[in-house]
Amino acid sequence: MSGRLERFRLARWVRRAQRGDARAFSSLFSALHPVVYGYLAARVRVKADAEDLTADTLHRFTRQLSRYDAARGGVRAWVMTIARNVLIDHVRKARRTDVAPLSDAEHLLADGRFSPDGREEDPRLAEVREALAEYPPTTREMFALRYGDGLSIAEVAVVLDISEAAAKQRFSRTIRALKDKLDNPSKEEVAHAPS
Amino acid sequence: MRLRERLAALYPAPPPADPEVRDALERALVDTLPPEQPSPWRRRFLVGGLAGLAFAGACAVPAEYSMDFGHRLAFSVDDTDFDPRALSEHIRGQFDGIEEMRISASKSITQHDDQPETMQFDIVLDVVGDVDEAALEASLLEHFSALQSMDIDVDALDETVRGTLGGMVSHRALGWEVDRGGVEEAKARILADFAARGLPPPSHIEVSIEERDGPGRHEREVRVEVEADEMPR
Repeated sequence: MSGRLERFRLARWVRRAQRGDARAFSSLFSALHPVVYGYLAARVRVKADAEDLTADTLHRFTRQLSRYDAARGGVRAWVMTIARNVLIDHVRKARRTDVAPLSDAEHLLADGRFSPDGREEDPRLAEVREALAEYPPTTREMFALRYGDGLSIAEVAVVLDISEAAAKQRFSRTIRALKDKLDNPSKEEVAHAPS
Repeated sequence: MRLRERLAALYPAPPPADPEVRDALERALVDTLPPEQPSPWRRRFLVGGLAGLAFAGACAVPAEYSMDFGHRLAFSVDDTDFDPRALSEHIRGQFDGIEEMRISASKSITQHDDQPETMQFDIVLDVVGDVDEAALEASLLEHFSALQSMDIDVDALDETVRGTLGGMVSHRALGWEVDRGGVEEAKARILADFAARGLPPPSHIEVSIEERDGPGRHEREVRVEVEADEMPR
């Protein structure tokens, strides 16, 4: 759901919610809750944690509602930026108490979205995941946000605080390289073979 | 399987949220909202009228002025018989300075528990040209009774508007009953509609269906977006 009209509608609901319109806020909540909960639940895995972090994210979002500036990006990108910061805070806090769900925030953001259920993975997907693993964490996070969480490239750029042009370029370059690697695995193996 | 399909399949769907927890959170957040204020648009309309009078006096000695590229109006209409095309026809008939105009509309159906369905059009109207915002809005309110009780948001289009093409979404497309399996059929019908009228195919067609649940309600939204150089009339 990332059409022009949808982006505009979310911004409208924010403006109305800023004036205390509960109906507009409910529409906004209905549109954003699944995205935020899905993002967090797919990464922290513990349902109660996902619910707490979702509540924390949407409380922060609601408190900051009056400061929303449409010129700085869409509503969905804004709330996802808050969710990402909440997740990073959660991991940092968990590390201090030695109960971190994964080793660190960077790993969680880059790879926490992969299959959590332990089922045997389709070899065609495993091949892509292994190829992606060779890229830096930021690139892996970009792909998780785009293909796992369904954000647009422009939204990914806002969440990761990079320019849209840079995000487009990195997606395009990585997809080209992935295609090349997956279509010609033997070429890669020869190229990487120890001499 | 193509690479993009493999990438999409790589990330499993997240588990669903507990509806009770979600609803409790929604209620808690609604309680934190500020007391409801009336729409600022009504105030802006009055201010706009006064500013217009003051400006008329100052016009004799023109100085520097900024040029807006147009206005964007957004509103919702509960009237299911409302025809978005009538807005365009009315504006073109009343105002000379229109350079481009575009209407986007979506239809949403809301089902509250134990209550009949309600249907609503959300309409975004971009008007590019030398048109006074307040006069445009007043004219629409006067001519369309369905808008008189509506909260209308008005924004200036103060930057270059790219890709704003003349025309509007076909009301026929919005009037179709599109179910979950009917997205592709709806797209095909839009294309057939253009072809039957000898028009080039649209540059963009998006048909989507979204269902949302909240406390005591179920929303089903059908969204149709069509962009084309020329629209069927």
